[in-house]
Order: sequence, then C-alpha cells, then structure tokens
Amino acid sequence: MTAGSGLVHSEMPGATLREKGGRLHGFQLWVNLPSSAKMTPPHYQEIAAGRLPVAGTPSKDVQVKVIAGESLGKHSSIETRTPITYLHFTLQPGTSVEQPIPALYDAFAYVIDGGGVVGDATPATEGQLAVFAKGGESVQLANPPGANAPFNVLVIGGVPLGEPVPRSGPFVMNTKAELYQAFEDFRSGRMGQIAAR
Amino acid sequence: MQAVKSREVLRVIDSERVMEGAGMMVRRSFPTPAIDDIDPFLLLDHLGPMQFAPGWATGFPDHPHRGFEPSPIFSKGLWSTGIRRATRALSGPATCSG
Repeated sequence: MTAGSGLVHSEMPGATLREKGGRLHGFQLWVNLPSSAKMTPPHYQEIAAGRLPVAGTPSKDVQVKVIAGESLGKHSSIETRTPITYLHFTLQPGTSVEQPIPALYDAFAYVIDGGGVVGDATPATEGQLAVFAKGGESVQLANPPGANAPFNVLVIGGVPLGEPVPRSGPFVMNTKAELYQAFEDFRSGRMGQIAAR
Repeated sequence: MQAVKSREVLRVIDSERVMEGAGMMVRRSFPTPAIDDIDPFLLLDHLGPMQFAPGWATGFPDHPHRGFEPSPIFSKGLWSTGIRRATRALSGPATCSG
C-alpha cells in the first residue's frame, strides 16, 4: 500500500475470526517514500498469501516465501514504490542458504522463531534483529545441524533514500512543516481515500 | 573461492514489546531506543502469533498515514484490511497487502 498524500484505513479482524476466535500472526513493515513521491496519490494492492511465490530446494529443507523481490528463481508481483527485497525463509536443521542482495541495499534479518546463524557466524534467536553491514552482494543464513526446530527468518533490504526522516505517529515527511500540514489535513478531513472495491 | 562477497552482521538487537491499535501487543524491531530507522525502512512490527477466544479478536481501528508505504502481512486469521468506513471481509485463509 502506498499512503502517499494520505489515507485513513483500518486493519480489523474479519467476521470469522471475530465470531469463532482463532490464531493471528503478522508483520507490519513501513517503507519510506522519496520526497518526490511523498504526496503521490494513495494506492492499494492486495494479494492472497496463497498467491505469494514459494521457492525452495527439491527436498523442501530450505523454503522461501517471496513477498517482494526475488529469491531462488521466483519473483514477487507485489510492487512497492521504493524497490525492496522482502523474504521469509524457513530453514530446517542442518541447512543454509546464500541470498543475493544488491550491494546498494541496506539490509537486515529478523528472527520470527527458532534460532540460527546469520552472516558469517552470528547467532540470532526469536525476536532478534540482525543488521547487516553495507556493501557485499549476499547474506548467509544457516540452521545448525542438531537444532531442534526450523529457523524462520525474514530478510529485508532496500535502496537507502538518504533523506531526513522527521516523523510523528502515523506521518513520515521530510520537514517539520510538512508534518504539521499532515496533522492539519487529517483534522480537517482532507486525507485522501481509496475507493472500496 | 567465493563468488560474491557476503555481508557481515553489524549488530544484533532485541525487539521491544509495545502496545498498538486496540490493545494489540507487538514486538517492535525498530524504531526502538537502540535503533532508529534502517533506510528506507521506518518500522518493523511482529504481531503474534496470538490466539483469540470467540468474540475477543481485535485489531487496528481507523487511522491515517501519509508519506510512506505501510505493508502489512497477516499470515493467519481472516482480516479485512478495510478502506475507511468500508471494511471489507476477506474470504481467503490469509492475505498479504503491499
């Protein structure tokens, strides 16, 4: 979704989850927009998780959901205005993978559950963020032999914008004045809307 | 010989638990006091996994955004990533929007 010049939305449970209860698991990633695109019209794109490309080794010891970008020969159809790589790897014990990342990108890994080794030899466990150094054209992930659980980890990277990032709550602009304008536009009902489909 | 130069890890940082939306506990990787943004990324929240009893599911009511691309992914649960006052129920087992 591109908020661009502004939108108001909600993320609420659907009827089934509300009435019957159930399990919920998710992520929220905010990708900045370059100053030239801050006020672009809002855009919304939605893809069923079943349609996300899944790639992996023939034995399925290493699998990856390609949310954005490309991995193990599969490419995502999700478009973000700022190009990114957004991957969910599942590594069974005793496996490893080397994921290409463009040298220009800033990149990090986030451990969803299990534990493993990130980069050369850095251990990381559930809930930890590993920030990769700049430069280099790949990142390595491994789940050591003998581990007792799969290693679920996000690998995320993108081209740094190198712009100032003043932010306040739900608005992220380039200057304080633009932030004040965002609050003023919200209060006065001028935030854009996306038509319901 | 290695074909490409692989990246080292600069830092490993624990996420923080914070409350968001209508009482939803999330694990925030950044921004936290330990780390600000990771350009061009502004925030990463990990929601759940959590189990709701019937009638107790909650979420993130109407809120505004400007200036970036929020990309929520919900791997479990039927969520309507609704449009303002036009909340739309989704029929699939899981959704992803970017």
